[in-house]
Amino acid sequence: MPKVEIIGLTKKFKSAKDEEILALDNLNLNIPSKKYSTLLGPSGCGKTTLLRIITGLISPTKGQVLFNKEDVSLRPPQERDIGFVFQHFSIFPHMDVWHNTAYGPLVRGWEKEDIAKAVKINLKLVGLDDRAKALPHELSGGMRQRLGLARALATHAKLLLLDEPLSALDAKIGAYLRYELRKIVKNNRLTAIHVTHNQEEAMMISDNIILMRKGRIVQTGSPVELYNYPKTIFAANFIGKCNFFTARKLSDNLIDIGGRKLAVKKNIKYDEMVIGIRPEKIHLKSHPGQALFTGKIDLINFLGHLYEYRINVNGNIIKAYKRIKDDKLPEKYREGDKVNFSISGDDIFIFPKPKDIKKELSLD
Amino acid sequence: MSNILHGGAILNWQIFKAVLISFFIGLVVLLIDLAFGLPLAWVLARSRSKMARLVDSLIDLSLVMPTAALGLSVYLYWGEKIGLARLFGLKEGLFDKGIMMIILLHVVFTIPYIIRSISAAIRQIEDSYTEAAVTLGAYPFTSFRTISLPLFRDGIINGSILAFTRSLSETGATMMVAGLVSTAPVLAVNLKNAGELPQAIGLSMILIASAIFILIGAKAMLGQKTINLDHVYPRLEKRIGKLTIPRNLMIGLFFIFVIFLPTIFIILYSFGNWEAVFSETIIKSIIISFAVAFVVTVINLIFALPLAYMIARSKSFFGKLFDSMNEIVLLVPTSALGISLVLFWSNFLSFEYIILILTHLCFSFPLLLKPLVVAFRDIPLDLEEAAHSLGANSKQVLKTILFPLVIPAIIAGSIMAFMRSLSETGATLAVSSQIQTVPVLIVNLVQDAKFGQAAFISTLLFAVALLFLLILKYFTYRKNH
Repeated sequence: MPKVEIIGLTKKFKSAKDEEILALDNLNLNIPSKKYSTLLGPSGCGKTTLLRIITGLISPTKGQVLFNKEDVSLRPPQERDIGFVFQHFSIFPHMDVWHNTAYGPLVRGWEKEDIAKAVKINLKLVGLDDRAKALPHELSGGMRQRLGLARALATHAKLLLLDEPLSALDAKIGAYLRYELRKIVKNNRLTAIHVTHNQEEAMMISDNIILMRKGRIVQTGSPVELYNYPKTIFAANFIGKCNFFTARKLSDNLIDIGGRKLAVKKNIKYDEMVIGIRPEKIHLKSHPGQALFTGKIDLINFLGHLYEYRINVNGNIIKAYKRIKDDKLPEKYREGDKVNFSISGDDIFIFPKPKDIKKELSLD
Repeated sequence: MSNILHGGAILNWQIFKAVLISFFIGLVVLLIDLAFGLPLAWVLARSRSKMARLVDSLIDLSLVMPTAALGLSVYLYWGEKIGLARLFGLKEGLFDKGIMMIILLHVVFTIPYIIRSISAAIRQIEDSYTEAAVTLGAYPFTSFRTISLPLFRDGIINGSILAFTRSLSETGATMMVAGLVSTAPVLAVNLKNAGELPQAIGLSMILIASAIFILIGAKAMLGQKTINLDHVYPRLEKRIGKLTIPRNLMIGLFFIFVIFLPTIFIILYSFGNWEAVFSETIIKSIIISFAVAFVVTVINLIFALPLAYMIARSKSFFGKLFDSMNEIVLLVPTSALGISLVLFWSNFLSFEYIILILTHLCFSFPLLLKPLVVAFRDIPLDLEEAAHSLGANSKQVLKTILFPLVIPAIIAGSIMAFMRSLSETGATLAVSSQIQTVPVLIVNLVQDAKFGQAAFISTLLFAVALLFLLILKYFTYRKNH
């Protein structure tokens, strides 16, 4: 069904002080049909603005939105045949569950039997079929969002747009609803576009992540691609956790990290660079000599299945994970211990050194 | 009581007719208010255009204008050849004094209540409800009818209570445009002044009782939210939603010619008809009015502050009971209130000024108390507890935490009470036939057909009122930003 294309999309707002704000900067994007896509990014990156333009709730300053190659940029939301799920549910407070679900079919003037059928199917889908007479205030947050989903789907919309649908829920309930959302979208062969600032949520729920920052698209790809092959320092930092070092090229396959040499397989393109490494790729070694770095453990966090160490190396904090195996308990390191660790040239991401590293590393 | 029962049959019919006329006028006025006020409130709450903002700030003008001045203004605008008639080159005014003109007058001062209540209610509805409706396929009119309207129903009911009871109880301005027609409050004052006290009392009781009934009846409707979704006409409603330009044009013309121009007409008129005015009577009236209003406000303040705190912090039934009592006092026609207070106080006092002040205290007190209660309720208990935990005693908490936070409410409430006292007509007429406050003087001058003088004092009173409104707006603006 629907394939969504964004062509040269720009959105400018006027701020309260009459300053012009560039919310979206000439975006081009293909959102595949029947896939679960997320628009991921920090607050203010333009992801919600993009979703609302796709919905038709706001109009773009420039550019086009295509549904199945057809330009819908000027079409009002009523005529876009979409389902929209709101962050704060926006369940009509003066209608019961049944009428909330029936609202879309009703205002379209469907036949009574068709309405009843659509309501029944969709309430069953979200597990609310026994609460049809309940009023919204009698439902829990999780139930209200299920209702929001049933209501959005009752018109047989094939394009489902979700604006931070899980972020107003308790963490546990939100995490559980992730599975259900994905299951419903996949089982019903829907196209979903889901806005979130939560990278963990995006990783778990998506087929396809569109990572945004400051009105632009940073990278698109599957969760695995984004985690293993981040294109920028920001992408490596925003998706998952990452440690960064500045480094210098010694030869095509050798770099210098603060006086320590590291061999890499790839050909080095830059003279000055920033390298990134995930915490689980930091290898703690107890013997000096094998190690590349030495530091002091500032903090140990117990996360159940692993320990997170925060290691202070000359004032820089390096995060490292160590998986917990039954026979390794109790933990042999203590806070304040000196520790050595090494990294492998195969595990690192290499980025050109930016002008302002702090700016690249900031999460907004 | 037996006096009422033994009153003449003619007078009873007269009373019945006056009450009937008052209810009829109130109902028609309410219907006009809703027909134009609803779309106007909607546009004002939603639009961000400069035009809408201008209209928004002009809406309160007729609330600010003392009703006696307003009555004269509306009369001159509709009833005299120098008014709207001049625009059409007519030799006479468009309407004679009577029911039509009373309705036109009442619409002017009641519509702000409708617009204010409804636009406040509209602003409280989350945009996402209408957005949800729209994404589900509802066209704007359908979404307005099925989502917005039921959600701000309470705002409509609250505004309607205010508008209807206000129309039912207005005295001073109505006297000027009524001609031979007697509405209930006008008749009450006339009966009292003619010495027909039993009939005046009977009529006052009917008015007070109906205000209470309306309040109870309307309150019972609050909070019930039902909606009929069985009838949706997608095509028709889609077309209606597109009629925004004729709608805006219609409410724009209505606002200009029926609300705004009649309100300010007196100012235009007084510039053209400048008469030597500062006679001894007028200066005396001004002094009396301001002195009474000042004394009333100060006394109100002394009692309202501690009482407001008690009510705001009371979790018992007392707080709620008080809220509704407060509303009843606001809704009771002031002329009826005046008559009942005269009856009550004249047993103990003979000095008219004191009775006048006591009467003004009675109807202005709720105006001051209400914002104070709201302000105290808005102060989280945490703040007081935090101050106590830091070692402040009750007196210090009062001085350093509570008092500074309620100052805007004190100013707002004081201005409203002061203005109400300054511009009140009905009760003052009922209390005394000798004391001439400014509004009473205006009524008397109009009855003597001295329009020039009346217009001048009206403009003066209006200027004072406007000044206070600006101060009020300044403080509420500061509070909100």
